[in-house]
Amino acid sequence: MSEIKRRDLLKIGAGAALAAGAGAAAIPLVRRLADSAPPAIDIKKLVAGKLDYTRAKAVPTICFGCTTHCGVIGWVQDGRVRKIEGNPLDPNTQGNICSKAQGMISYTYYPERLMHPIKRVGKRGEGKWKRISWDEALSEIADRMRPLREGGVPEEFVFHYGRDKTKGYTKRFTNAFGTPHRLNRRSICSSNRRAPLMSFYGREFEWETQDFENTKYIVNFGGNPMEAYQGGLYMMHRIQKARVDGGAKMVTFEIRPSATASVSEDYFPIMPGTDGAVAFAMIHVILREGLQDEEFWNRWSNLPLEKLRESVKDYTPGWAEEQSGVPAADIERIAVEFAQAAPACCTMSNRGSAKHYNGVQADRAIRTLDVLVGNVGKPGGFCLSSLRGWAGRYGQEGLPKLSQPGPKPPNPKPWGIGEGYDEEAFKKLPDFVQERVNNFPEKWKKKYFGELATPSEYPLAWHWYQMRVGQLVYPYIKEGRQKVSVYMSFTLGASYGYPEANVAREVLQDESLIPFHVAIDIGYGEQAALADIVLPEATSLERWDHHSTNNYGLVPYTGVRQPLVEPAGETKSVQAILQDLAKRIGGGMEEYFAFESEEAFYKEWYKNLPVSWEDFKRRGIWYDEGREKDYELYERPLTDAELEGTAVEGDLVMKGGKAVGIMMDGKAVRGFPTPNRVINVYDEIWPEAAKAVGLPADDVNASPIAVYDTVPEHRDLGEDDYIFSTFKWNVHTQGRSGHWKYHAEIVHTNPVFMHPETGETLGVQEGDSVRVSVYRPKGHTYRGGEDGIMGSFENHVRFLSGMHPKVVACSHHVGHWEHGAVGASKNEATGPAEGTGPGAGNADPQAAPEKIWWSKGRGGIGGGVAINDALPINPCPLTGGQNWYDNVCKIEKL
Amino acid sequence: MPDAEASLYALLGRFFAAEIDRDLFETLQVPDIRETFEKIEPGCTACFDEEAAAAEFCRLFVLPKGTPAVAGAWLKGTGSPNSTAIVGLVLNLRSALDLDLPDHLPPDHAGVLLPLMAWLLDHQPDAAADFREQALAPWVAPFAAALQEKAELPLYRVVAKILPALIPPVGTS
Repeated sequence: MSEIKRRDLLKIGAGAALAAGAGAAAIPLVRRLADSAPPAIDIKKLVAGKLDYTRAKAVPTICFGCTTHCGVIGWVQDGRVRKIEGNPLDPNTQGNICSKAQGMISYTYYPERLMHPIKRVGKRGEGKWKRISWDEALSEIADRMRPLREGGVPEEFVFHYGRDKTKGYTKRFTNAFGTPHRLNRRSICSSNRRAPLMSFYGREFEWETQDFENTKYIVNFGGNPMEAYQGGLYMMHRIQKARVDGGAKMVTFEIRPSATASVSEDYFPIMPGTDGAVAFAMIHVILREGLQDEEFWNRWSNLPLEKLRESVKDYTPGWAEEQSGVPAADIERIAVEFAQAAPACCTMSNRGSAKHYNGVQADRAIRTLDVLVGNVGKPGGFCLSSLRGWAGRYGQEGLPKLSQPGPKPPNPKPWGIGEGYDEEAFKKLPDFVQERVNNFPEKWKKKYFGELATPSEYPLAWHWYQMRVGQLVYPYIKEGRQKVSVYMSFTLGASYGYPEANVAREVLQDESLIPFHVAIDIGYGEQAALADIVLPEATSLERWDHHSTNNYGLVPYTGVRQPLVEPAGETKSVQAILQDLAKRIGGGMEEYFAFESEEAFYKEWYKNLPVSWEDFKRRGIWYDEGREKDYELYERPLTDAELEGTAVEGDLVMKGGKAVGIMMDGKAVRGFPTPNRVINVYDEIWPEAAKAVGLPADDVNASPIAVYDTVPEHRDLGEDDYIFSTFKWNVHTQGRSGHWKYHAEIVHTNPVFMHPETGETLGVQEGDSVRVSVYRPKGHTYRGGEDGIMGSFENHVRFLSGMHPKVVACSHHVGHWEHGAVGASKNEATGPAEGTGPGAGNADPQAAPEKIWWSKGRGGIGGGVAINDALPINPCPLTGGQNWYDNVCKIEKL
Repeated sequence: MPDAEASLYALLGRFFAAEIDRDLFETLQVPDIRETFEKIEPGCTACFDEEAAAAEFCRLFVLPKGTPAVAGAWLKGTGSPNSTAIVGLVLNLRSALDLDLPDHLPPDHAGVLLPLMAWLLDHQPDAAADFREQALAPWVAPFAAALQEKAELPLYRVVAKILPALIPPVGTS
């Protein structure tokens, strides 16, 4: 039929009217809820217009554009969030925000956002689905899970998350179910930097809080707060204030000229994996020049200064130059400048220094620098401030206690032999694992929960708390170390973003290994594509969360994420999903989820705040404005209440078998929250863990005091060997932002960056295509020492002066094949909602389908390349942190 | 009995609000509907596979890479209206008229807009014309074109052909 005429339309309409008149259920009609006559309507007057601040409602909440979590204010008008601004009451951000905050609007109103539960109808991964109701979805999931719990094998339920900021709500669910398998991706991210901090300062301080605002000198080893650091936004304005207003200097060691390098007074392109060498040489110089704060060192460190001097005697600036490429004269100068600025000086480090085979020891050396010059806890120095929770931990004294409402389910039993242990689960483990765990000291036996949660080869991944080794979950399942019956992924993108992501996909595809996979996420990404049921989650603009983190203003604060709008479509918050699921599983689980509403749950959580719930919601943030800053917490005397029931044993103030303070100058003070209440520059935990897992005593990771050794695979680099590294851009957040239209417009591809001289050596020009082929690592790690190319990818070259000439680097946010039109950079499909990006308050629509102008279909450069299949799983010995930046590669021009 | 044009909008809206099920398929067997549908796409009302229809609905309207039935995916260029304006309009209408609109879909979804248009035609025809101009005409044509291209189930191709005939693009009616 070539043309549909009006009479055709009316004929269909007449038929439909007939059917509707006969009450056909298939044609539901809109009805009025009121009985009164409807008012006359003028459509033009009801069309929503530009953002009108006199009409719009401002609602404070906490951003979830990345992992920093800034206080923001959303402007809501006509049922939509129209604009995001910073919340000036947030003491961390001081009202600043970055572009990623607007990403929340992008992902909330992305037209290809998943709005309904769906169930697979084809083969897994085939892409065939049908919509199902929540009732159907949750009933089926509950029916799959209930027998595991009732049958005494709750551990066969595995909950694996990527972004969980519910502050323990999901743990409530897994604990109530009885499984220890609440897995995460900490090892992918930051465990190598957290472990040294906890070794030095105790469990409560896995993240430092430098007093940037008052500092005079910053030495930055591979941190990039101007673009990507967790907490970067809290830091960047303080760093700039210190530099611009206070004349502070920042020195950055990096492999590429990052945004942070660009605002540093000194930038040194450094050979990857040699940050520790520079730090050691700085220690050497400070000691040689007598610039150390001997009083602080002797008072608070657990290592005699002479032993430190002995340990660094060979780490000269000349030696460090050979290792790192950083000129010896500069190392000398920086060491002296740093020490002379003390105590108003601080180090900074992150993945750049830590994500290497020797990264833990590099960070221990960096941490030693701060102790050596006595800047710890001092104004302008390397401070430690209260982190999460507010449960009365160290540094939270005097704060109102905040905790999840009860009743709280008990933790699962540890796995092992004997009373109080889960013997059945333990006995299913491979014999070699059982033997290893049986030989563990008691302190670790009590913390062991199987190979997925607490891999026995990596005891320092769970010695302080469960950081886990997420990148080994899929290989371990494949090896049969843990039977999985129900696997639930939550905001996880492992099948795109984990190293050897192809292994994740292979395991997720295999129904004999993962019989049932439920994915909870706000979008349909690569992980959801391999599920059996996908549950659509509400976004951060539509749900509640507790928020507390360290404050670079050094006064603890808390905030609340609250819904600005109702969840779109049929989406639900993860809290609502798990609450409903718990009730359906029953068997007592429901007792832990018996609250009447999500708001009631969070209101109860914050009940001890000295402000009303309504006022707290109105402000979004609370802190005690009169509270003293967190300087020198360790010198504060124990209060009379804290001293009650204590006894002094040696130097330590003991209570209930645990040290709670230390005697200094005849007074009981808090000290640090370590077992011996001092800073553990020397820590036997490293050789103890090495011995327990058979790591040779001469491995760099086995030393009780920080030492340096070259990354094993970097020892014999050939002329044509290069180090492949990755990095993050300021407008993206891991693999979760590739479909944010306005951010993808700014960064949508990931060329292979290299120094022009490197290009000349390789005979490539800018824009040429190259193949990057990566080898496996050579140290004591997963498949370490295996020969041959592990994986390859192809991409085009961009030259960047300022790169280290031995390094090539790509960002890793792009190259998606799911996540819809923008994520996959396909112009052929649909675009995102217009008018939802930055400036959307005044609705400047610019995102119609043809506006994905970078798609190859429109002659653009395309959407980049997924590189993670080519990056080997490479856990650091003992801690399990992924050594992302050690990859040796070859480059071929195509 | 509802107005014929209003009923047509309501019928079309039903295709986007939920899967084609046995009830809807039987409704399509009403002679006037079946004959016209068959004229547009021969064989389209002949047989029905509920599972296949559910998968097709999901592929087209629920998953990415399909043809999302929301205004925000298809509006072009700059200026007004945009999806924010359409969402606001629908919510304002719901509030002003106290209407019971489907709450499992976004406000700018065809499964909401088309039944709302049907109600306006039945009750406030003058407003209906403005509503069509503001909320439907700016985006239905490109949406329908994409749907016609991507739909494998003939019934969706029929709907894709009817939509632009019923709702011409702005400036062409």
